[in-house]
Amino acid sequence: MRRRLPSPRRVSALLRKELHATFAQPLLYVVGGVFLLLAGYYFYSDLGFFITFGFGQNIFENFFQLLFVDLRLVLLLTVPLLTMRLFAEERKLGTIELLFTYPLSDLEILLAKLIACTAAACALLAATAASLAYLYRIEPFAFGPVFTGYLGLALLAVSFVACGTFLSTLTDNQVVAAMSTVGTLLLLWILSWNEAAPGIATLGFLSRLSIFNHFESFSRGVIETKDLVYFGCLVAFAAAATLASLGSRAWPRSRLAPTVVGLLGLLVALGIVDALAERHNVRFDLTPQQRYTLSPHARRILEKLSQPVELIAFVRSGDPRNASTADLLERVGEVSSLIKHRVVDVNRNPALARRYGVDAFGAIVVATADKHRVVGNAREHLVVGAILQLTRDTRKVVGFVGGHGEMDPRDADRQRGLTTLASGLRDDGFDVRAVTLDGGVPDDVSVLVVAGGTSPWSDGELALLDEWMERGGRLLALLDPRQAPELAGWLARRGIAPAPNVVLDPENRLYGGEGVSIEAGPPAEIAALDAEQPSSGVITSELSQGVLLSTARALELSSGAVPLLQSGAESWATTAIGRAESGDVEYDEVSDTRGPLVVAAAREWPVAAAPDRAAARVVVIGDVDLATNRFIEFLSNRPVLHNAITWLAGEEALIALRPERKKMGREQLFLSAGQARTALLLATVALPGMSLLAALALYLWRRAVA
Amino acid sequence: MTWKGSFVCWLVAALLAAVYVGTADEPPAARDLPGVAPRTPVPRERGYEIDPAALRSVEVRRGERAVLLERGDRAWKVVEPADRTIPGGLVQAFVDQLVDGGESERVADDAANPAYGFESPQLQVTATDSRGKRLTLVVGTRTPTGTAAYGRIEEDGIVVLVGLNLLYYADLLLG
Repeated sequence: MRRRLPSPRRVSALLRKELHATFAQPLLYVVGGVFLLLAGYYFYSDLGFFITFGFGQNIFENFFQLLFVDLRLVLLLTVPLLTMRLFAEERKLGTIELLFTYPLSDLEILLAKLIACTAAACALLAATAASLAYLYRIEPFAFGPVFTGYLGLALLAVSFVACGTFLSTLTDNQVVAAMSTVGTLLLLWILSWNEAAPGIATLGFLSRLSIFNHFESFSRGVIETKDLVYFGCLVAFAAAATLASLGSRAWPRSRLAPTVVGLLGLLVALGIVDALAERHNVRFDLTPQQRYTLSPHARRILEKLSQPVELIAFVRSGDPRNASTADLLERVGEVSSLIKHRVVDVNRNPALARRYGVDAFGAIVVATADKHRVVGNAREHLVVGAILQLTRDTRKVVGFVGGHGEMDPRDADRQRGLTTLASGLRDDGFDVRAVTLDGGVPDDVSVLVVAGGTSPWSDGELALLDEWMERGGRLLALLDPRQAPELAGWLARRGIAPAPNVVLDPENRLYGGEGVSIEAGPPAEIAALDAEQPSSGVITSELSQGVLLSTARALELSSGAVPLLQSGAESWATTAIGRAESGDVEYDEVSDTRGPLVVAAAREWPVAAAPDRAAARVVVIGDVDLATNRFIEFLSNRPVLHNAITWLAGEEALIALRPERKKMGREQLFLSAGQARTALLLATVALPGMSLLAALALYLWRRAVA
Repeated sequence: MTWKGSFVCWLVAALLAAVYVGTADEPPAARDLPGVAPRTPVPRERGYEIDPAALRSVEVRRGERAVLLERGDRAWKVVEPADRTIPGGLVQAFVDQLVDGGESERVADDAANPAYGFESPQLQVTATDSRGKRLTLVVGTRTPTGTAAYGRIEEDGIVVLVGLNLLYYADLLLG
């Protein structure tokens, strides 16, 4: 065995030879044809499954994750066919002796072969991206999760090649080399399949050894340093074992024992490196919604904690959902040292469960020194909401005005109800209740919400509203076109005048939605605001996407009012509301108003009579449907409503990006029958066919040359 | 590799192990209540084991009421109370549940926690095999989720989960 540092020049010379030997052989293209056929079949069947059963779900979670998980199996079956020839073939043909006579170290030989074979495996993986490119042409999607998926597959490929290379040095029979590689990789996969089989003591250890457990994060769009280190350790050990195997040709027999002992030592050292990486793991979340990262809103709340909080997750041992529960607790606990957390088994802790009234698996108890709340399941907004509720000194009341046919926070109806909004506000630490203005606004109400309405407001009610605002009242008005003209007039006198029109924006309407639906976003000057600036602009400045309004009216602003949302540049407003709703309207230069048009605004003004409240505040949104159970989860509808109420309540320090719960109308994929047929032909016929044709052409060319 | 190289490998491993131990987190907080499990739940363990072929008699007791079953040549028969007629299918179903219950989860090695409810047991089942070996299962309260009950194996003091079907059949057996 020759000991010297690898020379880039020698390695690249040998690498060229290896690349030529790999890419100029029909074998790669035959294997590639099989690989692409299997991968194409999985692509098409996973796509079909997603289209059929995954409607309304996120394209990434349902399709890409499934596809990447399936591709790892295809890799497992095909990479050994590439590695089997690396040393076994040379040994059988006797060319390995010739190779060893070159002025090359074993490490240089190994590096060249490893890189060439990995390049071949990655080329096969890259070919599968053609199918995804076709999908991207139909419906663009975020690159982050696709990148992590392919990175994970590439790391799997390197690991498979390293294992296969080592096993190829042990035999001169290519079939034995291939089968032993498949067997070893399968074993590394199935190590953690059956929890009961290996026994309790070894289960955790074996699970961490399992190669595919370390691929899961990549398939979800997340890169974790512990997984990178694992794959690095695996490749390093396989390389060390390969070098030992290659070097054994020149050994005396006495070298065997120290080599085995040394390799065991290396294995232990790499195992500890892996354990250290697990302990000091860093996560990079490349999912579009940062699904596996705590939202800025949650971080802001947790960073402001002033008292200790304990989180206890009550789970059932062996439940696969336990990992995500523990993961959420870890993420929450990392933000503040005041948060302690643990995961316990309900059945093994009956006294603790009964003390907190836990009667279901998966519940999380959020406890302070003297209070606690039980959260039904491990969702970020629920856990953080419970922390907020327990640690707030007083709960502010959001009162929904009734008596004029307004929408009701107790109504669960999908079209008209506001229960989803009310539930979210309670999670944010507010008390929510319906109020009437008989006798004035109740004293304990912090924010008043007027959600539409069909009956007129009396002068007396408006006077009561006046009186309340004089005392530093806070009002959120959600008004569709034609609703509450008396209240609209009252708002106009306070600087925000809802106009009697409807805004149309064909360029920004929801695809497949109503003709009068629009997507509105913050004006440029608001979007540029810093969240820390003391302005009502924080309500919309940090929204990650637009707000979906079903039937919006424009707002005319006086001095002091701040625009929060506006329609697109191509929008316009028309007073022909009935015709607009039936879709029978064109832009009229004479009577219509050209956009962009403000559809949400805020204003505050100082009041003298309220020592505890320096200013009265009003937010007006020219649509009420965005708050209904049907529309609240669309785009940024929920965040804008929560932010508006939080700002009105004087708690703007808590406004920040929230976790996105659903992305209806986004990340969707709809294929026509023709597009599906094209996807099938591309994935299962064209790509494998091209690879097999290349194999045939190479074969004929080599025969002709010979 | 020489012995020297091998020694270096183990030396590096030892150094890394020292770093790993030296940077370990503080131990988890002391348990505030009896029966509180470690931070991360451990996987399930088998509860108890009954060899169905060797099983000879089963006694089911709740307070003063008891049913004693013995295996006959071809089927189980009711020995006590002698005057009661219990359908053979019900007896077999109960015995099957008792035997299958061995697959259930072992939740604790110490049955002293009053939350398990063994101070006022709702049922006691004693199974005896052909060599005279006994297994006594004392059933306490339901679990917090109400999906099973706690059982104590008297012979070794461990606590297992008992399926609700066993309790249901026992209710029918005892009338």
